[in-house]
Amino acid sequence: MSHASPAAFNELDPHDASHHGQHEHHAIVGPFQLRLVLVTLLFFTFATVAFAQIEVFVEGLIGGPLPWWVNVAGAMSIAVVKSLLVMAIFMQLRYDNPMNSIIMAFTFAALAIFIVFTGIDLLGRSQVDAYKAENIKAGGTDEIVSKKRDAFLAKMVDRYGAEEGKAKYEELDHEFNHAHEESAAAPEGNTPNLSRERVGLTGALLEVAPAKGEHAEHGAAHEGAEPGKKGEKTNPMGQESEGP
Amino acid sequence: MTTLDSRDNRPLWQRYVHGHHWRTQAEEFDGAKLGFWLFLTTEVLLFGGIFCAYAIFRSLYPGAWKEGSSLLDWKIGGINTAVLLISSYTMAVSIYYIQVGKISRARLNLMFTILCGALFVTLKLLLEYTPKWTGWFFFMDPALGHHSIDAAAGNGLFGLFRHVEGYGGKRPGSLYEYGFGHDPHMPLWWSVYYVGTSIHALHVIIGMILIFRVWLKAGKGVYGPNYYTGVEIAGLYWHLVDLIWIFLFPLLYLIH
Repeated sequence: MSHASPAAFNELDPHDASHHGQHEHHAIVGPFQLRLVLVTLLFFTFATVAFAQIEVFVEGLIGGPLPWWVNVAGAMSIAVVKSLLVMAIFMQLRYDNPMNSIIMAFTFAALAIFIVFTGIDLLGRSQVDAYKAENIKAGGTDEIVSKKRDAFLAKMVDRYGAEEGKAKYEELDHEFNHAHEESAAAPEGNTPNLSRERVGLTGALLEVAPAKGEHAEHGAAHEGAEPGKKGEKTNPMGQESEGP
Repeated sequence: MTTLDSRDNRPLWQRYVHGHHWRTQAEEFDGAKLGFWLFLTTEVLLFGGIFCAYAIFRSLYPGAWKEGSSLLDWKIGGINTAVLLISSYTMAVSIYYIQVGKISRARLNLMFTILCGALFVTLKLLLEYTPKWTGWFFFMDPALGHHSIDAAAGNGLFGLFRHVEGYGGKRPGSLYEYGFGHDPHMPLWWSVYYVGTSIHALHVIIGMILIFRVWLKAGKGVYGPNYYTGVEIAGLYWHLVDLIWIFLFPLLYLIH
């Protein structure tokens, strides 16, 4: 096949005027090469899925999570190779005027700057805003999810009675959250506190994130210790009965 | 096309004459491609916003991302990846067939590409969006075997759908109604999931329309070895859709 290996771009003769007339010079990528690329892409898809499965397996072996970047690096490096293949062969950047590749490279550079600078802002806020420690409620309120859970539990209790409804709720909870082996591992420590312990708006302020119930007690004790308070007992109910 | 001689019986592509403001037809072709690559950069930046949101929120709320990803089925995502990759191949090979003048084979591959796109969108709507949003499963959905069907709700839409109590409600933002979420940032995860995948699916549909137009015009003899700019451009759009999915798939389905 005469077009099996298309010639590279020639800067001094970009439209190949010396050789052919009209359209001849454009790269013709043959079906064999395209098929090869397709098989490679499908193989990499298989590889990225396999990598994720292997990670789960290894985590089971060592009994704990791998560093967060293993997951990201594994999936992303394969995706980058796949996308380069698609752009170079399927989209013919390899045989094109290099200007198209340069445009694309600058776009990805711009995108990287965009993401990195957004990250510098949002992911660094816990350090910048340390002086706001006393105004922020650590880790948010957990309101949306807990309300939905409570509402659904109430619905079940309403429909099936107190005990059977609770049992039904827990049965469904198990079915949706623990039915598969992979996802059974996921909810470990996956409570509303998980996000706060590691990062989050006020994450850096807390060495150990408080459990859900501790907020109220901590706040009450703090108020009780204020100098203006009359009552010296640490009974939280006492505050409400006291007049100004 | 500038002048068409009515007595000329050659196919349209052989009679193609490039615009008079270009020195050669090759220059016209390169100009068209350059313009389309510039458009593709805006597409990359459009999805870039979504990827940025993904990256930042995943760093802030890893628990929500882990839990949300565990509620997605990587098998559906994997099948859809393969479907899109194969369609990318048939799109590329149809350009080859146009270039060598085998128009009917090219049209066959173009139609196959459109059908792959349709399969992708169907799988997404039927096996992913509908059950997650409403709790109604298509009766042939293999995932239905894992759940107990809510008999009281009956069969929806002429018996085509079955309801699973409590499964639905995995919706973005304030629409979130799922009763079994653990992480407080689950609504955010579903926002990123739905915005990312639905804008991508919209691109698949637009790409199908573009390729269908190319298919029609190829049937009239517009495209051939001398002139195939439209095919090439539609192909570039389709490959970009594939490119976006190559990143969306591992990011959404394979994290843990």
